[in-house]
Amino acid sequence: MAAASGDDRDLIERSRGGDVAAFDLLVRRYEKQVYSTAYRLTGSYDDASDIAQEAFLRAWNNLRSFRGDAAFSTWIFRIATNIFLDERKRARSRPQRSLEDVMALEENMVTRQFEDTGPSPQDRIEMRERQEVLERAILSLPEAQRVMVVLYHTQERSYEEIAEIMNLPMGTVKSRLNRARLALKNRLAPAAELFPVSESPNT
Amino acid sequence: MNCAKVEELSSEYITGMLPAPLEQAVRTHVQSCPACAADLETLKRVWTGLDALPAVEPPLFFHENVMSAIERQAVLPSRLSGWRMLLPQLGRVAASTLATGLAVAALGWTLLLPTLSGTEEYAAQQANPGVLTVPRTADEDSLGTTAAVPRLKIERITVVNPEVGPSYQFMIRLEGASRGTARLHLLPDNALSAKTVPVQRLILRTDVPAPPLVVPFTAVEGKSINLFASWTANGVVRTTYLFVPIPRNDALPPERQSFGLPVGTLPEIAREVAVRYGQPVILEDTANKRMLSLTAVEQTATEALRRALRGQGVQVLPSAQGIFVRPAAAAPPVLR
Ligand SMILES: [Zn+2]
Repeated sequence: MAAASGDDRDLIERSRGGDVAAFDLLVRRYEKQVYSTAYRLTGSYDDASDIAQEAFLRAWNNLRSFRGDAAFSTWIFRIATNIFLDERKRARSRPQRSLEDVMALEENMVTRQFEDTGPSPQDRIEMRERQEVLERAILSLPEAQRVMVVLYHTQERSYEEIAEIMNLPMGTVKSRLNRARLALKNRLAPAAELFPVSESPNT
Repeated sequence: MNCAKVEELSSEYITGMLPAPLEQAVRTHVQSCPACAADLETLKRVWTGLDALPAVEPPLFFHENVMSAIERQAVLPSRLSGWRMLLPQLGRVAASTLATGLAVAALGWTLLLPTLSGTEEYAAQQANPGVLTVPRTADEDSLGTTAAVPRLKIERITVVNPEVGPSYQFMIRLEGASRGTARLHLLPDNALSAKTVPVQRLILRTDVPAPPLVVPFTAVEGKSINLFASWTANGVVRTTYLFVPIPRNDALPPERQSFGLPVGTLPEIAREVAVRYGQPVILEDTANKRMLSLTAVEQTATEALRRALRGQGVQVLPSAQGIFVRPAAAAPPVLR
């Protein structure tokens, strides 16, 4: 369990006392992580904005219930992912979009904000293509698995922290993440040539 | 070891987290099972691709919007009981922009401040020209208590700088608390619908004076500077709204300055603001379950004078040369 870093803890203390500027610093420190997470979970910039803003608002309103023994990041990720999961639960009563709909919609959406100055144009096109394929595959996962994949792979959260964020036993997190990766692998196998052979995580 | 078991262990195998005997068992199976070998290879590639997904930048003004939302929810609800004010363009998209959010908040203040004792303050200002203190602070915090301890003082000092032209300097300081923070929103020239609103964030400390806020102005009658400060001190969120009409030459006689600030009942103030800012205002009267729409019409100078001088025994007559203000009993002016 990661405890709040000293700097965060000071800002949280001051925020609890009503210091808006201190909370503003916390928002700026975590906005990119929270927004990115929300975007990866929803595939929509608008939804990501709503979720991320709501998450910070709830955090501010519930600062009193924040336990100092947890990291602020753990807490804010938990709030954001709960907002996402609750919203999806509500949305489930409405007709669900098929994966094809999601994919069709995503075509227009993924063109923004992925500027990367490094690679050559050809590499960049391939990279973009790879990212889009991955994004769509992530969006096809069941919500709870999606949350785990996003937290582990794009936010570099440990199994322990994900277990804490999702309030699940670590064994459950590990086995579900494994299942989610296998599902992604099966879905992406036809496009495997997009993914370069790289040093595997197990060297 | 069979294929299903290898699948089940594949994540741990890839990250090297399996106990040695299990790892050896998986390795042995994979070496003799091309299907599992291919699957593991694909999984590794996908894994690497997932790890390489870039972070996404939040939209422009994201944290500004978050903080605005926090400040608005802390300040406004207590004022909105009974009356709720809606602006026609307050849509989801519009509300997400900083400018619109502030326009709503600032107009809300103009309407919802309980007592606007503008005239006395302008009178006091005449007695002490050069320095103006207009503490339009609602002494009521978000908790509904009336502890009057921390106060935000905003002083205006007129500066004439030949390089920048005339400008106001606002000196901002906190009283009754050793430190606090303020967000200052400046809406120049009645620009409640301004597209861009300069925002300054200040840390207020009694031991370190805040830098003065310098606002250039054009001395045009009817123009004004609106300063909207959301601030916190001692754990209390408050708002101070400063409305500074700019008089011609910055020194008009007191009666002209009384145009600056609408006074009266809430509907009267709302109508005045709707007229002045050319923006429809809709008041929701929850007690009587009705909406009161106050439309914006262009106000002419003649109308403004008639309204302002109503009941003072004068007549206001437009002419090609200008507007005549004469005793009501006087005969029509003879124009040369
Ligand atoms: Zn096998």
